[in-house]
Amino acid sequence: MDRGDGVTDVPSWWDDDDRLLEELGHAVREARVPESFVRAGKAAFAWRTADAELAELRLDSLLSAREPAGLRDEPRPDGSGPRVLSFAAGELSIEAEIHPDAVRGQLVPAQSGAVLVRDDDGPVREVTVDEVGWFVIEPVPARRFRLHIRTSAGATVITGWIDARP
Amino acid sequence: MRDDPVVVDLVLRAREGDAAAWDAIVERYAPLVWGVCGRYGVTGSDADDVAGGVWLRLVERLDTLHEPAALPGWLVRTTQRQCLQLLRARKRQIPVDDPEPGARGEEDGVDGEMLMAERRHALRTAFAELPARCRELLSMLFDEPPASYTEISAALGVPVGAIGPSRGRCLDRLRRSRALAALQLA
Repeated sequence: MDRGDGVTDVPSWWDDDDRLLEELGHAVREARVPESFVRAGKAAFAWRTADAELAELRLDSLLSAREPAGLRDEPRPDGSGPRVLSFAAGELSIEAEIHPDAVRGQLVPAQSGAVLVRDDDGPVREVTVDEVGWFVIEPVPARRFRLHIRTSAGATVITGWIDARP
Repeated sequence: MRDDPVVVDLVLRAREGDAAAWDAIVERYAPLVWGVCGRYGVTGSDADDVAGGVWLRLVERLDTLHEPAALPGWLVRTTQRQCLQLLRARKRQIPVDDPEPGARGEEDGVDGEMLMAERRHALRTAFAELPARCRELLSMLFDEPPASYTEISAALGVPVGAIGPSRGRCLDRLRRSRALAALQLA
């Protein structure tokens, strides 16, 4: 910053006592940020992807429906129900049903936590997982997404990509 | 703020998973993010949502942030974008007759925001280093609404006639502080 070149506004706030006091007031008041605002920022650190274990796809009803009928355990007539996906990481599995209005999912074994929906651009939104393991993502993400899950017990897993409208 | 070794160190530590370093980053830059939200008219729980999104993105970017010194600029741009997204989504839900919210273009005024943030951060640092008497006096003067000289005289136990000269001396001390001097040389 070059003082006195007439281009920057430095001299005005710097040299004049009233302006300096005013600017100082702005600076100090601006730092009085609500606690909830700071808390939202601190909480974000729990969503580091570095620590997340990849949950592998175990089942996609869309894919299994395309297999020859004889290979399927449970016949599922086309269009009879929502598309079902299942992911697993260690002991934890994530079941997700894609309905027209929402993605409804469950953690198995049942436990509470939080799910962060991520797309190619980054985090989209966070939803809570209730104590029986259910979560709802509404509406269905328009673009491909993955689910980043944190259980109350502290496990973090992230699923592979899901395209709800393939 | 530029090339601030403290910020560089905090980013490196947060990258290693140090939650305390992350908290320090959030505390340091929350006023910057808050200020941008305010200028877009985004407040309350909306501002919390925007902040949540901004910080989540930073968590993702932490490992690939090549220049920790570029952090403030990145925060300003990301906050502006998130505010605009929120305002657009609002407009879609509730049709309003209002003209475009400001004529602000995307990523408008990043340099201005950063200069201001840098200056205000330096001012806060300098203010925190002032003697307690100066801080008390100046706080009463810049409060909204400011206290009258009579109130200040009663609260601080100084004659009314001494307030003006004290105010001048405290502001001069502020100007001579290391934090503000560094800003002037930058």
